[in-house]
Amino acid sequence: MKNILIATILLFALFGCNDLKDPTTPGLLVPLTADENASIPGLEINGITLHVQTYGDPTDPIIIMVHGGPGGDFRSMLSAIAYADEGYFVVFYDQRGTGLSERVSKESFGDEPIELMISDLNELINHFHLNSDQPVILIGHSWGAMLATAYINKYPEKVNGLILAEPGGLTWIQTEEYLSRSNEIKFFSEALNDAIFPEQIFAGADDHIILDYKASFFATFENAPGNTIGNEGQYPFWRNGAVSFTALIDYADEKGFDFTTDLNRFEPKVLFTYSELNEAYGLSWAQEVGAVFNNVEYEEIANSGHELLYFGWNDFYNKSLEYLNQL
Amino acid sequence: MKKLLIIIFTVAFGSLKAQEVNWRALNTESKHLVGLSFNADFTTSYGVSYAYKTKIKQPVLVGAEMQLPFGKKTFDDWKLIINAQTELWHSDNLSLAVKPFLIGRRYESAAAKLYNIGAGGMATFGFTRANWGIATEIGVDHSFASRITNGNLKEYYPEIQDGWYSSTGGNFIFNLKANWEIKQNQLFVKIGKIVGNNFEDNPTLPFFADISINRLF
Repeated sequence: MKNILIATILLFALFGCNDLKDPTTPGLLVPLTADENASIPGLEINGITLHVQTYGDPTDPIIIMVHGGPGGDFRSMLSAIAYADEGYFVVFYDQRGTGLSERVSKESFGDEPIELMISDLNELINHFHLNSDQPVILIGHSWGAMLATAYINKYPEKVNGLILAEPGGLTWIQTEEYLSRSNEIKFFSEALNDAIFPEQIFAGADDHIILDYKASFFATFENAPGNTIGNEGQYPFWRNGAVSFTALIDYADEKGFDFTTDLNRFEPKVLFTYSELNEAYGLSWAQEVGAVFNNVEYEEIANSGHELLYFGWNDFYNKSLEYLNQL
Repeated sequence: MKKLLIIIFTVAFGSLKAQEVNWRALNTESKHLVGLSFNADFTTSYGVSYAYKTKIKQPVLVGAEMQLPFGKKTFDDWKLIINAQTELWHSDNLSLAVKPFLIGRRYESAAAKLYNIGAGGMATFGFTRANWGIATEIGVDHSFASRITNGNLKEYYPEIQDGWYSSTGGNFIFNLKANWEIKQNQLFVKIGKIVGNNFEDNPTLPFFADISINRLF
């Protein structure tokens, strides 16, 4: 009854208010992007401005951090700045249309959006790679681990080390199977309301800002209390790239993908990490997904769910350093 | 498999503006219509409704409906719909009715709290008899303004702006409706689809469904 009263008061207050904010105004509901705000570090890659941050000596071995999603950003991976103190040049980037990178239309992803993501990563590596003696290591989380694998499937000779953190799958069939466990819909749950009730309010709007803001509600679903993937709560992000998410998911749903076709050409050992608390993953799924690699080591990250570079950072860092020191 | 489960669920349990009326079953003595509904549209919810029959030149039902999503927190999210409905035209068993409505919504999660105000209308055309009927419906539900108070989104983006925002869009509604009389109660089943008003933006649940039971007295 109290809520109804408040809503009624607000309704009357609205009639007296002619100063409504325009939700499509840049910066009001979601952050400005690198092309809109010169203080955000950006880099022109494949014709668009990507949000890119680097740490360390550019002549050191390069670590490229590949974030999850699709549609996520690298904010929750920033603890990885610590690799710079261990003698690595650490490169973070928000993928096309995500985080603080430039917004792009769905059409701009073209007929092969995954190939475009691989091309962006390749151009990024080419930009920072100084010479053939400088090692390149990819660290990918979730969708980022899938993208990193897709990259070495195409360019195995350009990467010297690979650390994966719970890629859902390396084929679309595997990924669908994993998602059916990790994102199982609980129809009568508060988590479902929290994720999708706002869809009736933010509906039919073409503006990317509204789509991105709406996506931030949907992103709460997998981290709600009692979630399957073991995350202890929400984790920080800048912007969920709704259009990027849609472009990639629609493509995968229609055409599928297989990132394993040429992995036998990749010789270096792969560190494959999985989290202790993700009920949808575990060692058995890690071994099923990782079986395609020539040389792979599996490590469990203690006391963490799927977002293991955030909630399980200390254990991940120690185990990843051991691996890096072996290269 | 997940999509199949969603479809089965929505067809089985069913969404929207469930305060239904069979115009051929309205008798002159009855003044009150109460209803109970179970819905799956943007989320899963249940609702109660009440309408009062008045007559200007023809019967008009003026009522309200409250829908509450399932979940642990009962009143953090809700929809309140105030409507008026009347039969514009009928010939034998064919009927055309309209139902304009005002809608208020509240939503709260760790991310943000929203109050939303909108309006819309439904038009119903179909074959209706006293004890059963079948009809098609089209409708629109447009958001006028929303009060946004950000929660943990403000932690992630401190410059985010709270306040009243203008329209963030709207939806079109298309559905089939069937009804039967069961022991002086009217059972309504609706199955349909909601799309954003750009015809591209689809809700997560691909179809909606609604089961409601109403009683006149």
